[in-house]
Amino acid sequence: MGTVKVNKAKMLLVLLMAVALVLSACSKGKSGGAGLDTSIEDRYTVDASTPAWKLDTKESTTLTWYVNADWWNTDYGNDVVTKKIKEDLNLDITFITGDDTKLNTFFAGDEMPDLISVFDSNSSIVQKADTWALPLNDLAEKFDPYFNQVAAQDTLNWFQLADGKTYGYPNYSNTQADYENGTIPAKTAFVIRKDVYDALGQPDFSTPEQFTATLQAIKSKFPELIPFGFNSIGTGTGSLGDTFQDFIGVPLTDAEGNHYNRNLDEDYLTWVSTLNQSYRSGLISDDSFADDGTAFEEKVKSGKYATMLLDGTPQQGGNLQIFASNNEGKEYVAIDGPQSTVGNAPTLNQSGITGWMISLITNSNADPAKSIQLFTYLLSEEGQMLMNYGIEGETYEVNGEGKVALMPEVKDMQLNNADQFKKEYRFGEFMFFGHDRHKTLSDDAFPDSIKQMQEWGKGKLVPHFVLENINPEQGTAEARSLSAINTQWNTTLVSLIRSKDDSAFNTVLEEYKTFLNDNNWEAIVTIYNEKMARNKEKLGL
Amino acid sequence: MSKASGYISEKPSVGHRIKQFFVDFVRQWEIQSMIWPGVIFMFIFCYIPIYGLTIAFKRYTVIDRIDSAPWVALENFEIILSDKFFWESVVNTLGISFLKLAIGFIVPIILAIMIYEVSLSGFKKFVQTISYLPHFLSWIVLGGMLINWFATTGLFNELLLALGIIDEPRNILLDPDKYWWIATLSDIWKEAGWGTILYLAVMAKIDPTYYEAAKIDGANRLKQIWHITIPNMKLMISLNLILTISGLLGSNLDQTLVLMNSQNREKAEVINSYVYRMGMTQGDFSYATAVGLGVSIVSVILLVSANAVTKRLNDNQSVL
Amino acid sequence: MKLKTMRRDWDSRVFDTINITCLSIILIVILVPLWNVVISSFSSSKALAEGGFIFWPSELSLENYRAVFRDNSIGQSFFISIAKTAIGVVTHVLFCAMVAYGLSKNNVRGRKFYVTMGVITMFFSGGMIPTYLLIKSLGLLNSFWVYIIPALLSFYDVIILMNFFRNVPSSLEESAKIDGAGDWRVFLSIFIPLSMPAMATIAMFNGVSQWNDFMTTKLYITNEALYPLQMKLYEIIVQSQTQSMQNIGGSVIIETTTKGVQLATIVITTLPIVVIYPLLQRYFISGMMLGAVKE
Repeated sequence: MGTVKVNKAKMLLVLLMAVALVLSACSKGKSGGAGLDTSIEDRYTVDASTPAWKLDTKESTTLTWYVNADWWNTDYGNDVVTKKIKEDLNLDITFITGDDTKLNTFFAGDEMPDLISVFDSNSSIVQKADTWALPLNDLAEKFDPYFNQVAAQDTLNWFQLADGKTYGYPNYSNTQADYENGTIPAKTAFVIRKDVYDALGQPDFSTPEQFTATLQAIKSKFPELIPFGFNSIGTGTGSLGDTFQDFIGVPLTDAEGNHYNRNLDEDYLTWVSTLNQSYRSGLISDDSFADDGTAFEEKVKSGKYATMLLDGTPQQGGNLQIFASNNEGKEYVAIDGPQSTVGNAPTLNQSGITGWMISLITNSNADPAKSIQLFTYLLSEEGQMLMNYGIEGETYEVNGEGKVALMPEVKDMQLNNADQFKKEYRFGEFMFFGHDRHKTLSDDAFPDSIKQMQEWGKGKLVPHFVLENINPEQGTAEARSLSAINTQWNTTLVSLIRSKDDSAFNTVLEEYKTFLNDNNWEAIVTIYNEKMARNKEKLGL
Repeated sequence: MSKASGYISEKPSVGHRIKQFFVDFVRQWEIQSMIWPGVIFMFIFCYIPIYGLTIAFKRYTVIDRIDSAPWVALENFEIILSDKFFWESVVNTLGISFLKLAIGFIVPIILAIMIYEVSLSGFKKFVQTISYLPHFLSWIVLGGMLINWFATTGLFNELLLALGIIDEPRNILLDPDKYWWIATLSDIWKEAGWGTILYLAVMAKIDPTYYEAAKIDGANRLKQIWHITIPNMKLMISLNLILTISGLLGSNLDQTLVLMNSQNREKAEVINSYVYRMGMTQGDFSYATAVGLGVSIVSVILLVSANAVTKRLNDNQSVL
Repeated sequence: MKLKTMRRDWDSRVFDTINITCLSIILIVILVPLWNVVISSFSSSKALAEGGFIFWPSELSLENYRAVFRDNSIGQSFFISIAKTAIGVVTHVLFCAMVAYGLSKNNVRGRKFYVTMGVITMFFSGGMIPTYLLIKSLGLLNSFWVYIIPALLSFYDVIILMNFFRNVPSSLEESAKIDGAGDWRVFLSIFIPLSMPAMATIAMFNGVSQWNDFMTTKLYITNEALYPLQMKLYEIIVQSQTQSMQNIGGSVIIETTTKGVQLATIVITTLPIVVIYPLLQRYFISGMMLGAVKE
């Protein structure tokens, strides 16, 4: 009797699951706009020398814009920036935020938003954009040729997919020209507290010996400070991996222009060994390896580190400012710091040609014409000035030296009432298609605390374009191996620095090398080289 | 089932039994009407979406639809099971779970009994309220506090130095061998109080006259607890035990993400965090779903086995 | 006799002393970090940056709380939170109790099937994507009811209540039925009152879960008017973190640390629960036996 019941139970369950599976098989077709066939006949005629938004006679449009991030502020129409956009383009935007799962529900459920912005250029979203997005080239041709005047050709080429068309456009995409013009500020620096620097008579950190000697001197003179600090490591490398390699100028490729494992570079390893020596002498605190982002920021705010190799100076700007304001004469200043032992010049990195936020127009976009107009608008000088500084004459002025300065009452609110400022003005936050060159127009773009650090970095930036987007395709065996290798490297680096003695150091290093071989490293390098070759083509190198 | 008359002849036929089933069913309509809303609910909200499990057998990425994603059968499982880092995370998961089971399971029971035995109502309420407050702390905050305390200049080292247990400060968060203990003990601190709630609810139902009778018979407090309080908690303890055992392959993702660093990773990486990383870096939903499915199947097996064992100990009464 | 009583009382008192001492120690172990959290939420960002204090910071300040309450819509979200918790808890507890009562009768036909079905739901889930599509097709997206309807049943709660119901002496039910009461009457007038500790426990678990939940909002609600308190707080935390991410122009000194705001949000969230729990305590302690039956 019992078994019959259980069997019946099982059968009914199977039946239920079957019904559920059948229900799921029903699929609906994708609804949406007419795409490239949208008619603009009664609205306007295209003109290559005028942005289309000035010509469009359409009364009003509403678009939904999905941003793949939790922290995006979804307000629209209440602040100076979006109010002007609304006015000029007769456009209302509804922002939606979320994460990858939310993003997938759009694809799975066919209610696609009109515009999508994502942050990972290596994900299949961007790589396979031809399956769900509209090509910008065609859109520009049909609806707004002026787009080609404001979009950087290099960037458009960079984002070209196999069919020769470009679907997404990024923000903070820097081209070769940008790097050469010096318009981009550096974001890395080796900094030291001014009081420490002066007390020790402006010492040198250039060679490994000098580095450890100076840190030692700091320890004796300032026992309450930790001599050397760096960005929080967590499960990564903080500022001691790529950042440090860039700082001492480890070559980006090998002599033939192929992939070079910078982690195993001799010069770099010499410096890692130096860090190890420092650690053994108690000049680096163990806590620095366990701290999370918050703990690191607290240390910056309270000036706990005598020296720091700092990556992402704008992000720490606020914290550095807090320390500077509360500690006259002790603020952090950038100095030359560690140098290459073989005479390389620094190859500091900044945002590459890929940028960090990519926006695309979906297939089911309700009004592709309006959308490309919006892109053009935001990309143009006018749009960029609006997003960074507002309206000339109303919220900012251009002073005698050609520098942009915010009006006093605006500046006042920015300094004293950040929340209100965000609500009313929102400058600098609406950063689609933003670019650093607009930041340099004003002295107020960055906090005072990091200005000297940016000055120091002038001329030291080198594009790393050829190394962008070279990772194996997501979901492949090589991608998984790479993930394991990177994780292993993170542990290796920290273990190297914390080695008890030289033999331990060497053992850890050998383990890493063996790990590479055991995990498909050669196949990964082959992929790297392939993609680097393609990059060079796109860059015309 | 209706009572058969005096003697037993051959077993009733299948047709007869089905008819009997429906007769009883209809007779019980009031009770059945209480259960069926639940059945319908489960069907709609749990069983209809279950087709999502098919993702485990497909290659599913962010831009796919569930029905359009390519079918790869058991490939995802092959990849996962042949991944030695996955197995390392399984070892860590089991290690931490067993530790939590061994220590963390008993603590709420003992704590609940201790609270129950207090007669000063004011103190009792106070202890109860305070004990479950840690449950509300998020791991981000708690983790941040732990990082602070375990620092070489932090509380923990200061305490040990003062007591002379160590002569040099060490940051134990960087020591892989200590991780399991840190994870377990911090979790107990956070959840023990909350875990007493169910037990106290059970104990509230114990007839106080039993205790009086026992006192008259000369039993001291410990004996009373052993012979009265604990047996009354047997069912709830069994239920908790079964559920804890079935959850052996699970772990606390928030806790791991905060406390794990590159130095303790070899002992800190658990199934959740490994899948989170692999899924995140690869945009691979299939990976997570496949692991989830495997873990669910194992959990159900553990549940059924644990249930069978506790059933024996509870005079053949199952908590399910 | 007297000796025995004396020894028993002495044993009882020793037990009590040890018990209270141990509990006090445990209390301290729990209280100290908690106190640190509370007092840190009242610290100025300067004091927090300095850190190193346990009991009292160098500078007190309400700035963290001001940062949280700056948003006017906090009031609305409070209301939504209270509404969803109150309605959600009542409906959830009654629904689960009803199902649990039915399942507590061993003679219910199909019981094993129902329980198996339920246990499976505790371990197997289709995942967020199909659930999202389901919620969408049910028209629950952006509706207040998405907080209530999908939360009606938790089989874990059903199992707990089921076991409590089983412990009610059957003689009570029998005598009620002899008096002509149907299953519903018995359920409502006998079993529920007698299982108050269990019902109160489930109510509290569910209440806390409803109060703290923001994932539902994150996935299914875009209408800000329906945001509960937790979602607002989550936004505040996440958005204040990104101020350091973006190149916010000018020498903006960010007034509050993320940590301070996080701590303040925890205190704000936990406060109502701390206040309400003692008021509900009496339901937990109820040991009443309606017309006690001596076996």
